[in-house]
Amino acid sequence: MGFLTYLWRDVEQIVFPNRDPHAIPSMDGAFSPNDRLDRATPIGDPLPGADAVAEAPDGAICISAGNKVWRLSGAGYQNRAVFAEFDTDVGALSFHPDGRLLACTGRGLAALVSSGVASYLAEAEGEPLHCLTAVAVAPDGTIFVSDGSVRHPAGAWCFDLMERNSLGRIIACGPALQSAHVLLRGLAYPAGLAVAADGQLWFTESFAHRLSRAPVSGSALAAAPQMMIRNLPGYPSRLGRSADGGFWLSLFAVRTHLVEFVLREDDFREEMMRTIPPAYWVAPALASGADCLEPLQLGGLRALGIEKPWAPPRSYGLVARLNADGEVVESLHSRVGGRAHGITAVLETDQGVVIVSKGSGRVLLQQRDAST
Amino acid sequence: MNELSTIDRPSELGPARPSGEPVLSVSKGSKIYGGVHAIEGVDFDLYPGEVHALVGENGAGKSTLCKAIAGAIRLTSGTYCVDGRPVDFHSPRDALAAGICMVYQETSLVPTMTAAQNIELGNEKLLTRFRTLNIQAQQLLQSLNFQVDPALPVALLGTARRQMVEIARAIYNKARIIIFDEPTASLTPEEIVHFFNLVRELRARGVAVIYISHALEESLKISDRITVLRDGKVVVTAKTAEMTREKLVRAMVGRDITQTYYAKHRGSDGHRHAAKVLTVENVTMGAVVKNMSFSVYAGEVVGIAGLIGSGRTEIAKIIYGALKRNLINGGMIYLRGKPIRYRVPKQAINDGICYITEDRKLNGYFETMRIDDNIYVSKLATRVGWRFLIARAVRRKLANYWVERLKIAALQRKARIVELSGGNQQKVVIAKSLVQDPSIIIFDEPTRGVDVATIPEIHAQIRRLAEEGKAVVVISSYLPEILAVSDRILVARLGRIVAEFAAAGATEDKIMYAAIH
Amino acid sequence: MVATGTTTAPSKAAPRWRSLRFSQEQVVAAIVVLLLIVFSVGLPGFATTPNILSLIRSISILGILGLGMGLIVISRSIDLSEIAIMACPWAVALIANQHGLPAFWTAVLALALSLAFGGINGFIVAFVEAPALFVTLATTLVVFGAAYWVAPVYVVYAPQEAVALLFAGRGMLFGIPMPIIVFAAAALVMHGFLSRTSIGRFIYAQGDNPEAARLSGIALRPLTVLEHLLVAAFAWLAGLVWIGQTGSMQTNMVIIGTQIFDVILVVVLGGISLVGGRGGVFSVVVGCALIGTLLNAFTIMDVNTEVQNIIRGLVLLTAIVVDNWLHPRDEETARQGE
Repeated sequence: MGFLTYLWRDVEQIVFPNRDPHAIPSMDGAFSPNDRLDRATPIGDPLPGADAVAEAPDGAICISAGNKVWRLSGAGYQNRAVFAEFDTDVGALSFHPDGRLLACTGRGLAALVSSGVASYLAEAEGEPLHCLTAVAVAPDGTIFVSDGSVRHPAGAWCFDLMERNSLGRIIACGPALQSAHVLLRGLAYPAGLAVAADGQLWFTESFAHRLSRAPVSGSALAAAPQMMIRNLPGYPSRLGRSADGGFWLSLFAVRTHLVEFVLREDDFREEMMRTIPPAYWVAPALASGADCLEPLQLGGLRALGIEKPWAPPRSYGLVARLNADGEVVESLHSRVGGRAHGITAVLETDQGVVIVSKGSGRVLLQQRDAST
Repeated sequence: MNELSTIDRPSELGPARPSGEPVLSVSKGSKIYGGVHAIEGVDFDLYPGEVHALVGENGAGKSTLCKAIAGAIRLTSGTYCVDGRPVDFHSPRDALAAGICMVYQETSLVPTMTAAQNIELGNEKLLTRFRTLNIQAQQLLQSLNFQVDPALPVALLGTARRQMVEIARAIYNKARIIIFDEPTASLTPEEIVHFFNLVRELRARGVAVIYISHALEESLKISDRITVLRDGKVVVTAKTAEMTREKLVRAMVGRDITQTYYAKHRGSDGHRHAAKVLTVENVTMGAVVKNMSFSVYAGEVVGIAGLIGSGRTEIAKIIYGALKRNLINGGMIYLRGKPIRYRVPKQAINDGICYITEDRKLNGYFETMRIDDNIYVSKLATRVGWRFLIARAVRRKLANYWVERLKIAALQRKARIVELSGGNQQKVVIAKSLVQDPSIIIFDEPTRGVDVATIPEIHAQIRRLAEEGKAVVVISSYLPEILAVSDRILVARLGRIVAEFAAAGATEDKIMYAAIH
Repeated sequence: MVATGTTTAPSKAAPRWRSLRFSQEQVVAAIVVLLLIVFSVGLPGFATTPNILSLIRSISILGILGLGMGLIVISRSIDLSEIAIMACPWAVALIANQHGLPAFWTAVLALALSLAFGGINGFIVAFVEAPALFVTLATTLVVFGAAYWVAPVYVVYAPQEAVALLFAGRGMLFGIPMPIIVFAAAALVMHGFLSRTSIGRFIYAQGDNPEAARLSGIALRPLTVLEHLLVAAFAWLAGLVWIGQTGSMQTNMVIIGTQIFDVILVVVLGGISLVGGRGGVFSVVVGCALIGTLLNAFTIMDVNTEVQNIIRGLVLLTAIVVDNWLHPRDEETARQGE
């Protein structure tokens, strides 16, 4: 069977020579590598499992890590306190204009009133919401939430990638978590949502490496989504608004030829998934280098004590800033050998840009002025 | 022969003229080609155990002199002594018999024969046992400290090893004078180090070495004495210890040259508003280009460094349509977002891409044509410039414009191109491409075989193109050139782009490291 | 010098002398003039108008064929099937004419067949990239075989009443035989084409350095096909004159004749180098003039054919030796350009 797949793939290239092969774009231009992420200031001690960030109405930030939500406040966000605790891991966070904290948990979308009592949106159109990846709120109070996959929970994103699923959904519901309905379905792991100044809903599809926007009116889709970036060099994750009307895009890992190859080789991949523990799969990772059993490409070895410039990364730190037209204008990197890998969330605040590196379990603060 | 004194010679302190009898001396040597002196009244002497570097621009007469010494050509006038006895060589064979051997740039080994057979080539006995041959060759190679398997066919050896075989052959033929013509041109830096050790080894054995090289730094490093030739005449012969690079250049050119380095403060912000013009994605061609990816932006110069065989030239030719990438899994090339796959260069030219060849004699210019025709034919070959009848006014205008703009020094616009110096020929080849009004210009080795004085001029032209908003790619093995002109430097290695540097952060060391490891 | 103070190093040993040397066609032209003077003085009956006209007339067919061959040799190619393309389509067309085809359509049919064969040559050379030498050698046999299959005779006679068809070969205009006028006109057109049109420049460029031409953006494949078509057209024109002169078309000359060698001799003698890119129409003219003068003088002197052949061969050898002496192929000079 595999043979026929290959044959078909080859024939396809000859018959449609100009079909976009969706190859990894080179990291140049605005994506030129640098080490700015490694030079950013860490905020306090590591927060293992730090995943997402949201800005509270009072200027403090909330970080989700594990099953806790931490509240960081003060100059340089040095004061730290537990804000809320859930019975499952917490993912994306957002504050509703009315002051409630919206948190994506394993049981669904939780709306937490200050008192500590939560109400849940647990299912949409008959399917449970157990892979919530991002949440965004429109100015009119409509809540948008993305469900990465209907098959796997959020922690098992790697399975979803390796199965090459497109089972993600974007769901809209009213301010009181009522009348939830699916806006878009069949997405390749939507992992980031943001509502732009003009009211359009921007979303990323991680495993399709693309960024799109969809015009919405109220809680309904006004028109078909429009692709803004068709091919990113990494796997895009959450989106954050920037002050100038653009966005901050976090990419939790970058694509490598080896992973792309494995994703093409169905038989190999199925056997790998059957026989090898997920931690050792040839797959992107949020962090690397801790375990000697990890898959390693030869180029990743140090020669003469120097990391090769072309070392293929298993994990990588990458944040891109987009303008209002969705063009990448600058990027921050943590390259092979750096530490701030696996960036899952970015938030621009008055104090700077807060970057959550899930790979290293650190929260970083990038001073805006110093960076440019 | 004072071999003992040459083995451990105090090179810095000795007299300008080494003691002893010269093993070779040429006095008042002249060679006339069709009424013009290729070399004129050259005095040259060579002592045993000395490395004597010959430097000079292209056409200064270095090769002519060495060919005369090696017996490939005969001097028109002048005397020529080996060991103090006047000689007259009629063929290289005579010179070889006198112990003079020239190691050419393109090695003259028979690729299908083994190293041992090549060493014995020309001296075969009627019956030779392979085993004996191999053992003899092995002994010879080991005595020279060469790590070469004598039983391997030469085709399987790398350039450096081939050179070793060639040198071993020279030693086997009892050569006392070895002439190297651009020996390091196709060696990697590591091989160059190896080669230098080898030259020192030869010197220690009392062999006299004549060393011709383009790279002044190498000549300064390896030689005991340096002779500078200009326009067929000896300008100076001096001890290397007394020479510097600046002095050499001044002697070669006849005046001071200031190499301009350009402002490099463009950084990543430079791309913020520049349009991505050309995107190369995973382009693959056979085993030469493998998964090469990069992009080029308007208004910047992208330098591509890398060793020979790293796929630099091939990727340029693939973009240009002169070579074809693999049909299956060959990757994509986008020109302003539109996929392109050219069958012939004509299509690329019509889309505003041009490629300026690395070997202008082989496929750059038309040698029978004049400067203006050379330029005009390129214009006629474009869609815009095509017309059935030749317009002489247009031809004159184009020729005048480009001769002025590129400062082509020709006595007349109608001079034939072969009558120009290397630098001016290169400028004509550049004009031939620029006349096609391209928006993407790929320079392949833009200053190879160009006189030292012209190099900064060509660099300035390259910068000017980028400032005009064109996307420029410069492929070069000469790192100072890459550093001088590029905004961004890509390093190719084994068919891949392995590193990218902003011009500000790049050094020769970093680039070399990326190119090799 | 050009308006710049910072001129680069002066043009090296640069072979300025090359332009001072005589080109091969000038040398040949000088020899022709010399021979004309010698023969005029030494040979009674040589320097008369009728003899000179017959001299030129005798070489006009060779000249027309030489123009076509010259074109293709300039482009660094060769067409050995030129004689076959001259003879065979005309033989077939004349057969059709005998069966009642009007004279005009006879000529059109011959032209169409010639161009078809030229096109096949060009297509194979350009697109299959087979060496022209072998391709045209093979098509010679194919063309001859095909013609003989259609018209199984070696000599096809032209109808004597078709004046229009024979005019180009035996007519007179202002007292000048038509073949001379046709040759002169063809040479003029060819000269204009080669030196004044862009396609002419492309042909020189291709012959000079095909790879450089390709990299300059010249479409070599269509150009190659065009060159072979033009050769076929010249062959057709030569055939037209031939029919007028002899009143028939002999297909067997394709395989037994040495005419193709004469054509190549004329072309190479005049300085159109087989290396390509060199020479021009004038080369063909002086080459023809030399051969024509010699043949004419030999005829007057009543020299037999064997001796004529020997002398023709010697002339070619001399030309080659003189060329070598004038343009030494020394490696050093060849590299001087670098």
